[in-house]
Amino acid sequence: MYLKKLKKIILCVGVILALYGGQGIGRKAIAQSSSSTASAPSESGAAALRLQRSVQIYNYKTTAPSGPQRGEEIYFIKCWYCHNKYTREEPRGRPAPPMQNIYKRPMLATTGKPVNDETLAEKINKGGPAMPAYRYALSDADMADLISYIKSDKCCWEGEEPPHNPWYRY
Amino acid sequence: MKKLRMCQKTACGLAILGMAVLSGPYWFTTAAQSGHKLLGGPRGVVRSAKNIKPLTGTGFQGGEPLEGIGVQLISLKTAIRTTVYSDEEGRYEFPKLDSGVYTLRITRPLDYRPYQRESIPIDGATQLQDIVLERVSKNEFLPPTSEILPQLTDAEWMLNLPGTGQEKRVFNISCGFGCHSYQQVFSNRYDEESWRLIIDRMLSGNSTLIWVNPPSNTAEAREQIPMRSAPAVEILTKWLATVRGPEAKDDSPLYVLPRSKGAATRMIVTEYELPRTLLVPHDVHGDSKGNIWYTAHRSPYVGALNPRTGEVKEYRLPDDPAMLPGTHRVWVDQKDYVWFSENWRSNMVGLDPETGEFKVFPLEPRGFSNFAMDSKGLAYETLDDGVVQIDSKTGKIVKKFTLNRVRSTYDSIVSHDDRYWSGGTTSGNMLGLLDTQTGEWWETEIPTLNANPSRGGFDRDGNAWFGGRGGMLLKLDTKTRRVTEYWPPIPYVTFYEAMPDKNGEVWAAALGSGRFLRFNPRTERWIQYMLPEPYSHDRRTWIDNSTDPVTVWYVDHNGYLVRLQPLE
Repeated sequence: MYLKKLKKIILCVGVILALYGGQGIGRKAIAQSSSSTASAPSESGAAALRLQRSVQIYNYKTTAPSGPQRGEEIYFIKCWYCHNKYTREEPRGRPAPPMQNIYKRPMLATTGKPVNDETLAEKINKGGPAMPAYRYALSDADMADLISYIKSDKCCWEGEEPPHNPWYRY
Repeated sequence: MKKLRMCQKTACGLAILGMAVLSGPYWFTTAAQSGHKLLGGPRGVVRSAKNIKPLTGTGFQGGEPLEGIGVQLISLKTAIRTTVYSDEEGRYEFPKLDSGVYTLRITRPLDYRPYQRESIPIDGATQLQDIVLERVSKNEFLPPTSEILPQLTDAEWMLNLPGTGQEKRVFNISCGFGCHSYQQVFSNRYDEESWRLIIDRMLSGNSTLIWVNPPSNTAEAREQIPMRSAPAVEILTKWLATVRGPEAKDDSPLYVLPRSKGAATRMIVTEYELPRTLLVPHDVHGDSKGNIWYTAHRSPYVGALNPRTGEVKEYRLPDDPAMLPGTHRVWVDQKDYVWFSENWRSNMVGLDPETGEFKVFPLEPRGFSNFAMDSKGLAYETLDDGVVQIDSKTGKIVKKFTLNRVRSTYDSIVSHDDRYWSGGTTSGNMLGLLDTQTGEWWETEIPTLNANPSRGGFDRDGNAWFGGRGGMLLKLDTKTRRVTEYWPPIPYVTFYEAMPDKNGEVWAAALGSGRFLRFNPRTERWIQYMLPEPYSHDRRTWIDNSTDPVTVWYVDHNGYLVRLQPLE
């Protein structure tokens, strides 16, 4: 009788040991595998820097990697400080013209040329008497994203509704 | 029966022994924790990769533990980023984190190849596999690649660009006011005429950048400010057109500042996401419930972060279509009522967080911005060439003190006993001190001409501290009325603020250094805490003195809220 109970107890101990011991090993294995087998391998190069905020900010990519959403970020940094609706006076004369609905206008006010992607890019690249020339500051991809934003219904940023942060989780 | 009990005891003993033997390494790991009350989470070791071919003479052999490496875990669920730093043995240990899946990475790898692993399950004191980092260079200079350039701090940009001492000092003083990073400047190329237009606009913008107010900052007025005068503009234009002109190349190997060592590695940095981008967040202040309030300088949105969850409750200030939205300072009073300055609109705005109701007090003359509030609810600001007291119940100016030379200051600070006000001239070298009970006032010159005292706070001994945009911390001893300058051990940095804690230590982010500094006035020791980003764009520090060690908060200009928890 006692022997049977002892056998049961030893069996239980064995199960406990197997379970707990196994769990212990398993947890350790999981912990190790968390950075070896269970997870993706270590990334390298530019891909591994996509979570470095400064890289995204440097490349105007905090809100989107490309397209009009990225164009809004470029617009905010490069254009809005002059082309906004609040400025009353500029150091060199009247405020810069607003950019809203510029594609619905018959021509560019400063050059007299019809409004299209090419003439707008030309104006941004060459600048003017009161406007810096952006030909060395914006890449072709920057320009394409910026123009896609200016053409869009979302243009133009005035501060009232800043874009949502794609990283914010709530 | 006795035999059974004996057998049971034996079995229990065997079970415990078995657990101890089989799970020994796990337990050992737990026992090897630092024991610090703020830690107890995932941990591991950082070391350098060994070179396959051993080097002879001088060179990096590898395989050594690496100190001062920022190791970051990003929660998949909350996006909260927690960063700790490896010690001299290469060991790092996180605080206890919520169980879940995280991304593990190295912050600002600079001289090492980027390292990042996705989908790391974290559950308690998870032991992580060794992080082995490979150097990007065989010497101490780094290649100027598109991966490394965006990791540079502003101070490192200045170190690596050619130029005379005068050119760099003029740039520092003129462009280091805290409105933008140097990265935003140096990532560009423009021709000389374009640089001239940009500089002209920036320096003549009446401190508002977008000219929302009638300009008082005329050409004649600017000539009185050395760093905005015509000769300064000429120096700036020529220098930028040379180092950031169309032909400028980044082809020289880079030298970067050393990483954190020793005490500076004993810090936990937590970064919280905000609901929106392009906010240009500015100031923070904590309430009695532990929420951290922040302002946004180009938007009507303000918010309160719950640090326990990372969730933010947003509030939108009342619209005024005629004026640029945006808030500067936030101040939570003793009743948890929240006060904001709408600096573009010159409004003092109160918010009842319980009801969400605002009350708006327009202030004339315009200029309401960097106010302080005493324990009785009186707000202090410099308006109309004097220091004014504003009753927060009515929004009315109830008293005015006129000083002599100090007519306008950037900040207004009030001593802990409500008795003294102090502030410094935005461009210049003057500090003012006012006894609000007697009306007696003093004006003191700072030795450095372009000290440009900015924001600050009083310490518990009654001394006024300010960050100097000229590159130093400033202490005004209110007993002797003597000013002392303290210069940091990092070149090319400026300060927007300095904030003393309950122990008399002074916290200040060195703008453009990617470092938060902790200065002990008694020992004159600086601790440089390296941050996860090359930014330290802090314009308002809020210190939670209820914790021990203190907890330091700021919101970065680049759009995220930061908590600093020193381990000692």
